[in-house]
Amino acid sequence: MTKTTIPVEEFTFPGSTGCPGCGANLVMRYMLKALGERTIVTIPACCWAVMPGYWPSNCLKVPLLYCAFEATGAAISGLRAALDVKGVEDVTVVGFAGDGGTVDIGLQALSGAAERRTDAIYVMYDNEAYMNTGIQRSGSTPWGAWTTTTPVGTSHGFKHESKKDIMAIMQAHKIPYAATVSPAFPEDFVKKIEKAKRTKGFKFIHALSPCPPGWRTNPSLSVEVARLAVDARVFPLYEIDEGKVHITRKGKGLPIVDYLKVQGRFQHLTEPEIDSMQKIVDDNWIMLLLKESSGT
Amino acid sequence: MGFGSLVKPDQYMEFRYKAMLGMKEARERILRVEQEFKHIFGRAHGGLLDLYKCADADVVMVAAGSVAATAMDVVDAMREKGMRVGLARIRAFRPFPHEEFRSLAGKTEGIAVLDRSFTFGAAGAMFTEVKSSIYSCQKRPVVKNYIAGLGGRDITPKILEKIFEDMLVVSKRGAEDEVEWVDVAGLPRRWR
Repeated sequence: MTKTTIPVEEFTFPGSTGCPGCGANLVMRYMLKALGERTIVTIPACCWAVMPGYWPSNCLKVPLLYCAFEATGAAISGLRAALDVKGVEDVTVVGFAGDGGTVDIGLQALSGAAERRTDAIYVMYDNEAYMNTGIQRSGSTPWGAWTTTTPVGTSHGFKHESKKDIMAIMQAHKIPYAATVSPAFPEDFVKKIEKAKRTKGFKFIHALSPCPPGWRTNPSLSVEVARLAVDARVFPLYEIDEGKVHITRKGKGLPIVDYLKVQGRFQHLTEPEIDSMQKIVDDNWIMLLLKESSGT
Repeated sequence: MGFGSLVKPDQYMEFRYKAMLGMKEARERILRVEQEFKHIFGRAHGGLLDLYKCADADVVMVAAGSVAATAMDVVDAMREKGMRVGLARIRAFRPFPHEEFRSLAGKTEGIAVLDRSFTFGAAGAMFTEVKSSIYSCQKRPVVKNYIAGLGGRDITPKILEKIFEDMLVVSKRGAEDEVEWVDVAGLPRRWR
């Protein structure tokens, strides 16, 4: 049997109300394995605001603070300040928000916390739409995707705007550490979270989080879909350590169609449309390689 | 443990009931902490309702916040002139100091509630609370609401003195208007 470096101890218990095959369940699970028990997690409105279970249940072993949709950055700042006043140094403060609560609604509080160098980890689990409320498009929904607010079949059809580049936004804040992680690569995932924990200041983690109901995927394929995203370089795994880009997994460079064809939300795309998506992915990949080689 | 988690309708009544019990406990907790504070620092600030020269007062003004400090000076000045007035400073709105107000009701003839707020269609927020507090008392003093200082308008010692003087009269013959707006341009009564 192959030995893994992933901690054995579990901090998520059965009872999560997440959907079958939920990627966000895995993101929380691996994150807590890396961080351990001395952790406080702040959750705004998002899938995970429901997933720990209804009051008085809680399927997580760590304390949770629920906050308003836009307030994650402010809530983690307050928690950190309170812990500092109490002289508690061994507790990791985590903001755990969805993509809508991060790139749209929570952006100003996130920016403020990053600018103040708040000693906390902000994890955005990215299922690429407002999934909890019924699959409405967000600023993180990729070009070409179907959602209930970008319905296919009308004159406009799918989403025609591109996904916000949150990693670039965070890099512009000159934070000490930012990284992308995928539940398909848990070793890489856990290493990055552990590094974030060791780093002082504001850390940002972008986790791709497959969503079977929203992406129209088979729940048994969530890890596979997450792997395809990396191998097709739609979601490259890299870190930005003190401003320096380092790609941690190059992926196989599969054609994007391999990633798109397993998802119902992209089934309407024509061949020319898929070709134009491929070009965007290729351009982004070259840009990332350039960033890595130039050390920025 | 989760703070602020989702509560389903089938549990919501029980959840709110627990919150109510918690607020009940808060009253005792506030008073206990005040005693601890007094023990350590040698001074106290009046619990939920800070009474200033109320023991023998003919009328008492109810106020909260910074204006209460001004009102204390006014109480001192008026007492020097022989008028028996006092001040009750609200320090906790929830839990509300109902018991303190009930015991105050038996000792005074008039209560002037100074509200720096107005809930349209009703009255000042503290006024309705004070009135409901003393409803069950056998001896009920006259209660009148004075609305002043909205939007940060100054409430001067002179205005406070006039409110006391008005209340001294009202406490004997009852209030014509239960709620009066103080220092509003265009209204007949002059306050400045």
